[in-house]
Amino acid sequence: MAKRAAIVGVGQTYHKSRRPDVTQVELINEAVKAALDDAQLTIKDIECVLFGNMEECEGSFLTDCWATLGTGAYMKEGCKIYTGGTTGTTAAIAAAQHVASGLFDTVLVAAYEKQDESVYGMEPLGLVPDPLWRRRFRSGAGAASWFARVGTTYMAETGATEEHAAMVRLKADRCACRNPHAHLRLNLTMEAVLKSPFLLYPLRLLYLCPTTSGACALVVASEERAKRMAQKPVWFKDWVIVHYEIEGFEGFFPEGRITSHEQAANILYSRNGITNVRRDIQMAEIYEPATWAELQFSEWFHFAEKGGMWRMVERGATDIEGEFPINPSGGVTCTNPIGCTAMIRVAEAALQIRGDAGEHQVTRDVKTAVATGFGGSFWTEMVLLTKSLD
Amino acid sequence: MEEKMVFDEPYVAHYQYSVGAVGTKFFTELRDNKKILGMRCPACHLVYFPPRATCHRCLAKLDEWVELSDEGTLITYTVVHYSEPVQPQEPPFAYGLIRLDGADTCICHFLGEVDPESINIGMRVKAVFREKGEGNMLDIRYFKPL
Amino acid sequence: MNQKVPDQYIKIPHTVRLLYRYAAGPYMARFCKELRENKRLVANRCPRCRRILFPPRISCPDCMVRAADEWVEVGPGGTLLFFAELGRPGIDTRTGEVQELPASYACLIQPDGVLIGQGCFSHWLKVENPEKLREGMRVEPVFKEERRLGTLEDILYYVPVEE
Repeated sequence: MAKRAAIVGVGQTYHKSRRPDVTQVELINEAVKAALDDAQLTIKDIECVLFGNMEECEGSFLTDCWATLGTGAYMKEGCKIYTGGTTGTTAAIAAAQHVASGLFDTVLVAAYEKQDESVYGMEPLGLVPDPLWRRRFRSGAGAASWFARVGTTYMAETGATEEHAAMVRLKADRCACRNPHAHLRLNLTMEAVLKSPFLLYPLRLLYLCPTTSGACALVVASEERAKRMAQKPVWFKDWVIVHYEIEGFEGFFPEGRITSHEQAANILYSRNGITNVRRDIQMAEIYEPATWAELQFSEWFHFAEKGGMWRMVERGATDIEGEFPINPSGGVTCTNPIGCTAMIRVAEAALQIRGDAGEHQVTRDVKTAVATGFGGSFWTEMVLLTKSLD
Repeated sequence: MEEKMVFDEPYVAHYQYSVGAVGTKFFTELRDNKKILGMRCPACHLVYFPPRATCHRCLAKLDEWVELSDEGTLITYTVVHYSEPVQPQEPPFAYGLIRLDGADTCICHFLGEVDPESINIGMRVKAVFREKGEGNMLDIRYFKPL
Repeated sequence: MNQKVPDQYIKIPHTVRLLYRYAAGPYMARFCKELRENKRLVANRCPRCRRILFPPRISCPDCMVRAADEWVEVGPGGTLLFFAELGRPGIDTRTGEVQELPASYACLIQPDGVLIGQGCFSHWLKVENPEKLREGMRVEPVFKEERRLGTLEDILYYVPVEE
């Protein structure tokens, strides 16, 4: 029987475009120390250190080995985890699994991306697609064109308009402005959003996630240890990982087949008796790489009925004060240190459950929250967190 | 035999490695003043060279700079006899692991002005600086026997 | 707390240059050779559910059984699923520099003979009359006439067929 695992410490950096003042190792260390301080532990209390990043972004390989200087993994167990855009959730899930297995009572898991190390930002990720099939066509088949298609398809199928995406982007900015850790905090107006140029219609420049340098870390502990040491442990209730057959963004449009997001949500909700998603879950931190994706993904996660998400946005339901807050941190369109972006979703959801999110704490009482990760060849991860151990 | 299809796939990407505030101070002193700095962890009683912002043992933030000697001891070494595109020099040449006087950790660097046959562990060595520094580790060209 | 970091810090530039050799494997090898020698696109089938596997591969993702050595020709013409005018080209990972693009549009193609949801692919689209572009229209490939290598780049680009 698996043991229960809880998040007992959360830490992250102040995310920025560029951090030339620190090395990669020092950047990681900022988050690690913040998480240890939050857990009121020292590195001596940690038994195992897990680690994640997308090393193409830095061109520094075997980061897990030499990053021990920052993670505190020196002479401890642990390994690196890399699953693309989902790296952050996979690493968090792996930490929970390491505790649930009974092998460790305290696991520290850290993830980072220092995108200012790459001259062309995220471009080295072009190494990810299959060289025979899609790598050559990245300029066209990259994220931007598919998120544009998410927008056109979403509008055509649901009756949403361009203004609804602008509302989602404004909501993200309002949230980010209340989150001191967020990267883009722009004090946007509707006018400013609608002036943002189209990269590809209907995808505006402001609708795409930025390139960010930042790190995030969690301390995960076993039930016995968490109950003893933590005032407000946040419990891993369940998690799910789903892959899709098709390599690349073609998987967005399975044309009549179920997406990995829908499949993951179906598994997670049925396994945990979640019948009314907006009642049984009180908030979500989702991996929305572009503004249009927040509308579409939210429906795939059943936060709204099909075609209903834009109506929720219209009435402010997804705001910090709303009936079902989505990404009160500002989300991925405001902060995207890619290898740790998904871990920030878990960290932020945990802070909301604890009631420790500060200025961007949602008004709704959060007993259960969901965090999601999303990766390049259509890979979905969902983590269900709860306030009480039941 | 069926023809196997194998495709050459080069990968080229440009990066810039941030040395950070601590690294910048270290490389600036090395470049401009030919001075070698280390960093002390007061809790662990260790002097790190190259200097680092954090002690990897206790995770304390470090800011106690120490000036190190440009002389040290050869801890171990190897002589490279084969040629590869990644090799920085024509063989034969020698790499040494050097602990500078006043430091507790070692760095790997070239050994120069020395007959590979006569290198021995425990040998005393001294840094030879590049005439005009550029702000990277090769501002020390190599270490030579004293 | 945010933005504005002074640029006084040292950065050390470095370039990663590597050469990999990518083995297509027996299934894709057949695809590559048909493309190179006969300008044809081929796919294989699942012996159980009979669905087409495109790109060709060793197993059926739905049934998890080994694919049959049963080949069908698909495309190379097809239906335009999606198109987008290209803004800034990306970086070609082979050179580390900006990629030279053979056309000004990108597209997603559903090749003839492959059911929707069972495989499509990305390519370039050369467009004369952008106002006539619409999703669902027919597209045909323009092949390289010489020095084909067996990759999708043996097709220079697709062109829309106006009715």
